[in-house]
Amino acid sequence: MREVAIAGVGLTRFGRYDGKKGRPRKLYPELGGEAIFKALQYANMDWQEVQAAFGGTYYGGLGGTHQCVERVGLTGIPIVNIFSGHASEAALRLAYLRVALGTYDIVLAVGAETLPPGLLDNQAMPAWMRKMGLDVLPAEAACSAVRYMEDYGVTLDDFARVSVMERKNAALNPNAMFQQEVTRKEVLSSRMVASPLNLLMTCANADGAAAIIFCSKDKLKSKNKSVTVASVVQTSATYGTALAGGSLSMTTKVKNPDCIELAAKQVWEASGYGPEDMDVIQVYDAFSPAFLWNVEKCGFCKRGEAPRLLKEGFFEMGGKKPANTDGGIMGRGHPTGATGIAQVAEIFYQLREEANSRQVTGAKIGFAQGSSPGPNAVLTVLKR
Amino acid sequence: MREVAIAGIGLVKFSRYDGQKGRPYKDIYELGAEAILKALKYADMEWKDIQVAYGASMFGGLGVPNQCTSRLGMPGIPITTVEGACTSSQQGMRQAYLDIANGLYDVGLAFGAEKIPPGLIADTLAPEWMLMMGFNLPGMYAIETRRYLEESGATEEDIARVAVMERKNAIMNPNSFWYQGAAITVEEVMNSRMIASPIRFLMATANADGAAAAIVCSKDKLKSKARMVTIAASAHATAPYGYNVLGMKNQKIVNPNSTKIACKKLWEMSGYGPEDMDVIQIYEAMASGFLWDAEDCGFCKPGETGRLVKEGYFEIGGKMPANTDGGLMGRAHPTGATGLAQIIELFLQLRGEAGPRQVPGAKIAFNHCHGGGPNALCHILKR
Repeated sequence: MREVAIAGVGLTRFGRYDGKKGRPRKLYPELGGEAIFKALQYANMDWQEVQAAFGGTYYGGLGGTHQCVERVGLTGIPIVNIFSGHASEAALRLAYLRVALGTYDIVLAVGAETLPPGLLDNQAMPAWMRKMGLDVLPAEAACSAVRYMEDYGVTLDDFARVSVMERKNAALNPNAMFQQEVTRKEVLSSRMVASPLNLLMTCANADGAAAIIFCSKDKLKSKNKSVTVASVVQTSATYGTALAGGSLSMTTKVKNPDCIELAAKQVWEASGYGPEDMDVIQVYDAFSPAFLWNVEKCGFCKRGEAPRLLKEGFFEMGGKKPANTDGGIMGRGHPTGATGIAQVAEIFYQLREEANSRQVTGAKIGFAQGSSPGPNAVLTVLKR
Repeated sequence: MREVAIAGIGLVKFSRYDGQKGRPYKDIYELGAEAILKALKYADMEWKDIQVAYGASMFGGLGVPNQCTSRLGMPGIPITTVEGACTSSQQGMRQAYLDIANGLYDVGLAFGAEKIPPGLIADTLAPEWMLMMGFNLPGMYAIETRRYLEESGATEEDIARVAVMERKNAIMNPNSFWYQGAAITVEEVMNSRMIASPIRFLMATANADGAAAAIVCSKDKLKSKARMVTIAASAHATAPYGYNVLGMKNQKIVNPNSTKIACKKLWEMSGYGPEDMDVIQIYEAMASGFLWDAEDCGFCKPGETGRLVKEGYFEIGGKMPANTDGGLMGRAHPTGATGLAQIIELFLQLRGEAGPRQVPGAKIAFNHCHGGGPNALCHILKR
């Protein structure tokens, strides 16, 4: 496989585009188009140069990618719409692969979302689970959180610390939904959503879009500080089975390897790096506690260790392993279809030294995690 | 790029699995798993030989591929849900093909499973404003059909003849919706009830449930190379809805037509032309689609298809046998599975396993698949 560079990324600010309270009204195809434009601009490329596109949305329904791309202009290129919830990381992987394998030289991945309000459901669960209400995402996360607390003696304070850290980072990120910090007390006293998860331990429904352009190195307009892909891997599992991991872990007492652990093993092998080599990381956490078990699953510390490290400032900007420097999902907001690419985009900015006030000095290698209903895990390692 | 072979195929008969009127009840996951199991058996492979999977379902929602494969075992391999409406499963095959052709994996699986709600299907891929205006599939086809009839001079009887031809083929296909059913006549089609003028009931595909799977692999992974079928070329193109095309040609300027773009690429990259094909598949959710798509794919000149159908050109035994398994009119249309069902018929034809509908000596085959997006997928298979 040949080396693949990231030519550009584009993000809309994550937030609400519902036309209410003075906010502009934009539907996801428009947001997606905007993100694509920004990525093209960043890459200094024309739309005609893009040879294929991959993308997806969770709630946009069928053909979401086509509708986003349509805003830029349809040239007849192959557009593949991936349907896996937070689909953009799976799309990102395919876009990367098609360049790495030499099928195309310049490929776009885009994710966009207009999310409905209220509690979201995990539509990837089989019908019987959905009919039992196991698909209500905060409830599902609550089950996993309680088990995590039981298994490792973790406390609500630990969960709250994740929210506090990410909101602090988000305040430095103009594209984040939340621009204000919160205190641990505020998190703990916010209203209950699904015990033990409070409102400020759950991510906010947001609208937004993200796009990324991969290309072979010879297609880069400038090779200055070029960021290349060290590896992208994907693994999958099924709900209701041993491999489901975090989700429905309550159905089985054995600690099974899950698709995130499996993917981590593969990404470290394939990239030739280890967790210790990463200068900056993006970890997936639609709910604060997920940050803790995901850094563990990805290999950044031992099982049960994350809460202590977090308390010690290990994951803070300026700490040993700066994590979710853009605010993560708790601070950035969670337009599901756009999140996977946004995770990688932040690493890209960090390695390019374009993260401004949230810059991790000298960051050269970074890691991003995407997870989606399915369940599927997509892990990415980038380097400069 | 290295050669990619089709190692095995599996089809679950297209039908209704709703538990009504004595029919068995099967959920979508079971249908998908059954097709995969059949494909593994055909290929003489085990589930753990599969290194990557692309699954599809248009109406099943998220996670269907993960659930289908879990019936067989979950090795943690990448499973990607590809959504391209009626082309979904064929898009999955194309991605698996690209993975293998470029040496990333050796053995890949593509499959599609579907349980379709009854009634008229909306083209949910169209932009919001079109959906609000009620552009459902028969309606959109009706507009395009009216234009085609006006411009080409073809008649409604020409459309009816496509339905008659496909039903005749479907009766011989044990996996089709209309297997061992009754043949229909042009009069019957013309007298069937109107759905969206000029589209009548028997000119429209039937909503059906079903599943299809195919295993693609590098040549060295084949358990037997006898009568090996390979994918000679693969192309995918898209076009816009709304604005100046509406998914239909409502402007006189030549707008990008995804079928034409894909075919142009396909013929160019393969070095073959339409005249080289022994057996073909043309996509048509409504019978009229066959007329313009046969032309857009290059099998005849604009406006000619109607006459050729009448002359038996596309019949089994004709010059260019088309939709030998019954096509969408006769096989019916579990959307997520259709793209692969088309490929499977061509595979069987090239292997000489198509039974009473066999085209003698078929060695090279063409497939056209179209779907909301709009997406067009074209493939050439050869033995």
